[in-house]
Amino acid sequence: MSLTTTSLAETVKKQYFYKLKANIDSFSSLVGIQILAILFSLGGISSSGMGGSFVNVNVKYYSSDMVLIFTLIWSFITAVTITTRPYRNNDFSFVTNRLSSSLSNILFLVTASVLGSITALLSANLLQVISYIFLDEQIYNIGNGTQHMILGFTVSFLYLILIGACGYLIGALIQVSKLFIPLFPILFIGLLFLEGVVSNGFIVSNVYTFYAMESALILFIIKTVFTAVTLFIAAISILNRLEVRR
Amino acid sequence: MSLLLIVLLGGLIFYMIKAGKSFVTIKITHWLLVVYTSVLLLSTFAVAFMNEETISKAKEREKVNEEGLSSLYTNLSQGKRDKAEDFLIKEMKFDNYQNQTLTITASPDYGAQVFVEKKLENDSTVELSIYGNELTIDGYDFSNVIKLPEIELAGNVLSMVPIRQNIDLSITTNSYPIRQFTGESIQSHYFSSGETIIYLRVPNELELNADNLYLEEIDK
Repeated sequence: MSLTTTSLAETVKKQYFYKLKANIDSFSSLVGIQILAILFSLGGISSSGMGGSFVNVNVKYYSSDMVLIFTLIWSFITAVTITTRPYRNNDFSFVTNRLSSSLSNILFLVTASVLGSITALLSANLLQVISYIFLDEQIYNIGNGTQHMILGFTVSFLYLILIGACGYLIGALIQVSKLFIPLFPILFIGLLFLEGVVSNGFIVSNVYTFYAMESALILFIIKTVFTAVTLFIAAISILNRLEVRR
Repeated sequence: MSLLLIVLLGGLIFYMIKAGKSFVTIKITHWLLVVYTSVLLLSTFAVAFMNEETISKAKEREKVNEEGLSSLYTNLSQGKRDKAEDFLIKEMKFDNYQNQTLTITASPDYGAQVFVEKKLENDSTVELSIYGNELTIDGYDFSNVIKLPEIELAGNVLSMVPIRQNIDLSITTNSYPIRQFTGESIQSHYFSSGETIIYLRVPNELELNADNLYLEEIDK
């Protein structure tokens, strides 16, 4: 019989700091994936031009879009990875239950999303410096500004946490049954094929429109936060059931 | 400048790592994170530093006032030069012009509009002003990257020779999370170019001839 009692908050806190140390290598992959995306972005992400009798203009546009897409993929993979058995077994180093484990995982994903969003947005500056120094290009900046940077960090963070929540739920489902491993790619590719067949768009385009085409910031925040919380709750419920089974 | 930036970046990163190493035992992952974050922060600083001599040029004149541009023709055709000051690109003055006639020539495909204002006095001075927006991209004025036509007065012939040029520009735009709410588009871009208006002020009794150009005299 143990005389020591630990609160849930205390356990979550300990597990969170432990996970930050234990999963530090996921941040190396973040750096790697962002450097790769920066290299891909060096040619510009789009171009346009115009021609007249005397003047021809070609414009190459730079932005950190590619870095953000790669970071979203990283966020998804990281969220799936932390639900796997080796990672879950690490939790038994502490007095723990499934809830504290999930909460500390979510906190870890939030931290990863904060770091991911900041580095993804700042990478646009690195892109400019590389182009200026190594490609000898004079770059004109028509973006940025502090307000835009804050907006960019907020929205990127919300996208990352949303994708992280999707990954966490999918990871939790995979822990229930390995059948989900082939099912999810088949489902995703199948939906993409359906998009091409159905004239007015199907699930993927509707989901894209719902989040990525939302132009009111408040509505976007409500949508993403509500969805992420729902997905996390679903994942926690699934992982809690897992303990009963095994 | 480029070399200075590289040395500055390299030196600072080296110093930060060296300083950090004396406090904690750094794993390769920590190394990577510290170096990457430092590079990103230094790049942010460097961009602000580079801004002064490179990037700010595009924003010098801020977004071009589209309404003002459309009224430019009307204002100049009525001789209201004070209302067209925002679009003045260049001014030239040819003093001590003693000829009785002036022939203005241009390349056949140079479609600039030329307004002529006859001054009240005969001061032997030909004044030439170039108005317009030479190049606007997405509402930003890039006229400074365009070479203006070569204008030369030889004898009694004022010639305007436009320069053929290929311009390559690199523009950094906001990333998608920002564009989603500002309404900017990375796909569709608006270009505006070649709206040049030449405004001549000549002595009252000077006789004008035009070659490949149509001169519109202003009745003030």
